Parts: sequence; structure tokens; C-alpha cells
Amino acid sequence: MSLREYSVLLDPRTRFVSFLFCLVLFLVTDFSGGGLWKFAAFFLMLAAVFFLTYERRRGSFRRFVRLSLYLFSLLLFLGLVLLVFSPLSGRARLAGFVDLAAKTILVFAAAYVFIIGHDFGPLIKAFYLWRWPQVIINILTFGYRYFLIFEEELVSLFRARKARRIGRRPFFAELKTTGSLLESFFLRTVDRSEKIYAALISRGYEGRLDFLTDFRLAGRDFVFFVALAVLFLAVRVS
Amino acid sequence: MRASSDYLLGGLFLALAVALPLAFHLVGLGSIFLPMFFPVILAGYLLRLRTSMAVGLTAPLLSALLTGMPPFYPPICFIMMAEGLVLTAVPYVLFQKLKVNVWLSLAVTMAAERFVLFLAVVLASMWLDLPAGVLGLASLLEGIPGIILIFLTIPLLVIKIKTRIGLSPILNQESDS
Repeated sequence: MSLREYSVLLDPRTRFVSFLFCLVLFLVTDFSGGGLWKFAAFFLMLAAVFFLTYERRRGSFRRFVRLSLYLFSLLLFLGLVLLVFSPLSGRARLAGFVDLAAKTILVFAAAYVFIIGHDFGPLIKAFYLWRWPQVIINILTFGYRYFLIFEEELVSLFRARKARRIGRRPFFAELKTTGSLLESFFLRTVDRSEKIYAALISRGYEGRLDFLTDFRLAGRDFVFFVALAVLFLAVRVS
Repeated sequence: MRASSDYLLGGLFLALAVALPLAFHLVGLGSIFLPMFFPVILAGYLLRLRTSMAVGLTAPLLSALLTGMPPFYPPICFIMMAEGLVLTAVPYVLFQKLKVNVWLSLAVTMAAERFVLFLAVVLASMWLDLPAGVLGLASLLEGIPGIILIFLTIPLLVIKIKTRIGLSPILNQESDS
């Protein structure tokens, strides 16, 4: 089995538990002062997991960079707030910001490597197998399915609105336009829900959704998680 | 509404709660318009408590797991989950149970949401050694355009959607569970 095949076969439960493990581990690690090498080590290990578990690395990496841009603007804002308003000394402020930035970047990188960069559908099945409440499973299933449709529709709707706007408009005119745009979209969504529900009933829907995808925890999942835990804990305690 | 159609409408609101912020950010309108909260508040006004609270709780979580926004750290995702619970539970109790006027219930809902936001931001800032007062105040003021937009759209939408659901032979059925 090649390394590329290994990635696809990894159980979504293993990915989710690995993410939670990383989240907790990063939160209890101090990256300020001499802890910066730990940030580098964790980041490199996450990069290695990315390299081993992704098939389309180039496209996924581009998406990772695009999504992380928001984080950098958030960090810039928090850095400015710390610089101007924090009562701490200059050195303590810098140490605090380094720790905050390191944790933010690592948590996002872990979320991307284990969850965001993969198909979300199998993860809902994982929640189902973990016996999460039926209401959550149902609305997550519908929500994920229609998110893919709405995303495209809303983006083209808002792009069209932007394309037709010439110059800057007064604030309240802007609010009014956005409000009417939202109103018409919500009303259309309710109309659409009626049609979808009628179609679901005609196919025998009784409030319960089943999953066609099937997967089982295998030896490779345990090996992967144990290796990850040992390596990450080794960096944490050293 | 039947439980199953309730789930469907909840799912559609959840999908909108994740897709709307992406569309807003794309055209530079940003988070000051609170785009995720429109469908979440509507869920509180129109759906059963269990379903609407599930929408409020899972909207930031699903968004974080699909797009990375809001981030898990700093804990903005968890703060928004708390806001989502308030935005669905308060309208349900006031509007659907106690039959309070839609405008008054919306005003109380937004006040409660701002209070929870302020409290959560202050607590998170203290945990992260950030200036708590400044960030708490900034988070309150940042959402003002969004609150104005919510008051412009939500009451009318609640009335219109309730009427549509009432007229629909498929969606308007007694609860079967």
C-alpha cells in the first residue's frame, strides 16, 4: 500500500480524536520564551501528517494559505490591542503575544490537517456512530448538504450586487439593500424547503437519515494515533 | 410543524448560517453585520426548542470545521456557540411560549446576546492575558450595524415566514413527536 492510499483510508474518528488531542496539547503548552522550538517542531510534524495524508497537496496547501489569512488579520488586531492597552511590561506583552500567535496558528493548522481539508460527510457518520443526539445528526446532515448549494448561490448573489453598485452609497442605503436581499433569499429558502420536504416524504422519509458510507476502525488507525501521541507528547515534555 | 420538517428547516437555516458569512466576507461586508446570526435568530422564532438550540449550537461549530472561521483558538467559536444558544432560547421562550410581541422579544434577545458576548469576551481575555475591558467594549460596539440590520429584517421575516408556513399544507402539520 502506498502512502497516498493510506491517507484516504484513515477513519474520520481517528482524525477527529487526533484533532482534539492536538487542541488540548497545544493549549497546555507554553510557547513563549524558550518554547519557540516546540512551535517549530509541532508545525513540522503537522506538515508531515499533511504530506502523508493528503492526495492533492498543492490545492489543499493553497486553500490552507487562503483560509489562514483571516487569522493573520485577527492576530494583527490582537497584537495592536496588546501594544496599546495592555498594562503589562514590554517583555511580558511580547511573550504573551508570541504564545497567543503560536497557539492560534497551531490549532488552525491541526484543524485543517485533520478536519477542514477533508470531506466533512464521513465525519457526520462518525458523530452518528458515537451516538450524538439524533437532532444534531439530522440538522448537520441537511445543513452540510445544503451549505454546498447555498454557498454558490449566495456568493453569486452578493457578487452581482457588488457589480451593480457604482461608487460608495450612504450607510443606511447599504443596510436597506442588504436587508431586502436577505429577506428575499430567506423567503425563497422557505419555499424551497416545502418542495424538498415533499420530495423527501415521497421517498419514504420519516425523520431519520441513513448513511451509505461505511468504515471501521483498523489497525492503521491505532498505529497512527499512538505514533502521533507519542511524538507530540515527547516534544511537549522535553 | 412535524418534527421531520422541523429538522429540514433547521438544516436549511444551519446551511445559511454557514454560507452567509462567506458571502458577506467576499464582498467586504465582514463580521460587523453579524451574518451568521440572521438564520440562527429565525430558527429561535420558528422552530421547536430542541431543533433551534441545535442550530444555534452547531452553526459556529460547523462553520469552524468547514472553513476554519470562527477559530477554535482564540476561543471565538465557543463564544459564538454560547451566543447561538441565547439567540435561539430567548426568542423561543418569549415569542413562542409567552407570546410576547416580536419587536420586544427581539430587543430582549439582542440585549441578552450582547450581555453574554461581553461576559464571554471579558472572561476569555482574562484567561489569555489580554486587555479585557477594551476587547469587551470593542466586541459590543463592533456589531452595531448588524444589530440595526437584524431589527430591519427579522421582525418582518418572522411574520412573513410564519404566514407562509401556516398556508403550506406540507409544512403546517401538528407535531407528531
